[in-house]
Amino acid sequence: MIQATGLTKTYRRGRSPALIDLTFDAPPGQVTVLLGPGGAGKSTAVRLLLGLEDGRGTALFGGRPFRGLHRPERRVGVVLQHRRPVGHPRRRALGHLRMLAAAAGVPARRADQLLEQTRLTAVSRHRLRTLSPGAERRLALAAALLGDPEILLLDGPTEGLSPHDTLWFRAFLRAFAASGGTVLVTCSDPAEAAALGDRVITLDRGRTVADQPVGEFVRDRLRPEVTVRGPQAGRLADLLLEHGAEVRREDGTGIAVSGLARSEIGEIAYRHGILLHELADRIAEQPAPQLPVLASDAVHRPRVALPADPEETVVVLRPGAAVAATVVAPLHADRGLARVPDPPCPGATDPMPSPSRPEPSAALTPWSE
Amino acid sequence: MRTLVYEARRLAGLRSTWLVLPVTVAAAAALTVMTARHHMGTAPLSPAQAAHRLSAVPPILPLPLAAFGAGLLGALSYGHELRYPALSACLVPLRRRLRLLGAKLLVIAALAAALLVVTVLVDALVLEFVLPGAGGPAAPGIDGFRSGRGPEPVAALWRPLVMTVVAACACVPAAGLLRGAVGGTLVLPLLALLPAVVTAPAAGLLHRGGAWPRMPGGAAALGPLALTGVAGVLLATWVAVQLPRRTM
Repeated sequence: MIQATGLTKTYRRGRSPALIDLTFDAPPGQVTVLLGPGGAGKSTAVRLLLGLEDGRGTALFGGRPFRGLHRPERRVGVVLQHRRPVGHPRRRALGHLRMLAAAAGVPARRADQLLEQTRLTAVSRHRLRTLSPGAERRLALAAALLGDPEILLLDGPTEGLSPHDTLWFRAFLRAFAASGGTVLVTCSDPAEAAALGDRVITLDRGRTVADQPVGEFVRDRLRPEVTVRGPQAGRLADLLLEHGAEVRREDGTGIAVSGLARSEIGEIAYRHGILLHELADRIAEQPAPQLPVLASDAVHRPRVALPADPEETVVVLRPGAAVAATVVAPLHADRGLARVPDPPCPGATDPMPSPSRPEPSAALTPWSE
Repeated sequence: MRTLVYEARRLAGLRSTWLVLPVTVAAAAALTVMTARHHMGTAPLSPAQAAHRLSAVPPILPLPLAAFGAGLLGALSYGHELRYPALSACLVPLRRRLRLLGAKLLVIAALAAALLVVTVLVDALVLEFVLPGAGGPAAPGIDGFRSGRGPEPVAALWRPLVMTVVAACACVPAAGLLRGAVGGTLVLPLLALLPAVVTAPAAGLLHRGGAWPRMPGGAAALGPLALTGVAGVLLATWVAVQLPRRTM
């Protein structure tokens, strides 16, 4: 059981905070996922939980803070995200694990068991520098499991792993939770979070955006899409729009379609003689629910949606400010590829009117940062 | 105890350990033979000089070679925790970091003492075989060493022994303070020059203060004393630096 209350990491000199008031419970028997893109504060949260960094808030592991635990390696297994290798590159996997077994106060026999459990027996005599990334990650997991802990705390365990290794990790962590353990992992891929977790806590720039059971998370944040690529993607997009699909331009020759199954899109393309290079299902992430912008935050660093088009002008309004814009430029007829009722991405819609003429009370911020 | 076992396994599992130890012994033997050849036929040695020669003290940096080998391993031992922080999560409480440093110091001290003893034994044997007729300079030391007739050279070995152990131990917190094995190793030459720098002025002061006759060990004790002082300062600084930190 992990209970975190009000974990906050702020910096001096106006740097935006890394984490603001993260509060959650990770109950036993469940996999809890901290989800967010890079820089969302996931690793900071893990380091604050362990007391590796100064910060505010409390974190309890089974009722006690991590640094107050009598034998922490017997209670909590930790895998941190290191840019450095897990151990000395010339050391052999078995020797490395036996060394850590001594530090954890468990017999060396346990190291052999864990190598077997993490399917590393074949490479137990290999040096660490020759291990694959997946094997290295499994070795780090084996080291965390040495003390037979009831809580696992893993920072990005499946980041950058092959699908095969990712599947193994997923199955292992789910089995660990099913046997009554508490698992807290961080993850940056929503689809992976949905497959891994029972509960998903979404972070965005240090704030908790959502704390949902996985079913709700899947309904809210994930939707199936079909990626279509081909030389006549524009013509196909017009046809698909007529059939009631939602179309989003991806890049040069690619579009993302939702609302139609893959087979239907293929049939439409075939009937109209359109050549396709790619037609594939995938899971797309819905944008995270918007947070109300705090006044203090807006004063220090306005949070502005990234303009995908360099011609766009971004107008930042302080509370109480007003703006009136006049459209001067004509619409570019050749750019209207997609007409989406509720645009998920500003770059795919028709270009924003430009230039806009703000009232003196509004702050005009040209995109230069 | 757990930490000691960890440290011993860590040290034993590295190639650098098994490279540094024999290289040190071999270099010490070569150095002893060279100095013995160089000084062949000159006046007989005092017990202190014989101990000096048997423990293979290079002429420019007056510290036994064993201290350099053990000091290098000590610096590497701390550098290992910085480069491959496998234990970092468990080292958040200060007492655990102190315990790990204590284990490192114990292991390195034992290793340094053992290395010096092995060096002296090997050097004595090598001298006996390579320069059997050396007779002059090294003979008194070796004869005393072997037959037990003259226990002075053996007794005179305490000074290099203390200096080796203290210098090797000082490298561990030094590597922590300078954030790397390289920094810890660079402290060794400074430590080696320290006794020579300190002894003359300190002896002068003691003479003038009239404390000289009462000093146990005389001027020979000043070098090890100065080394121990510096090692103590390094250790205290390390603890002071570690107080607000969360990792090694």
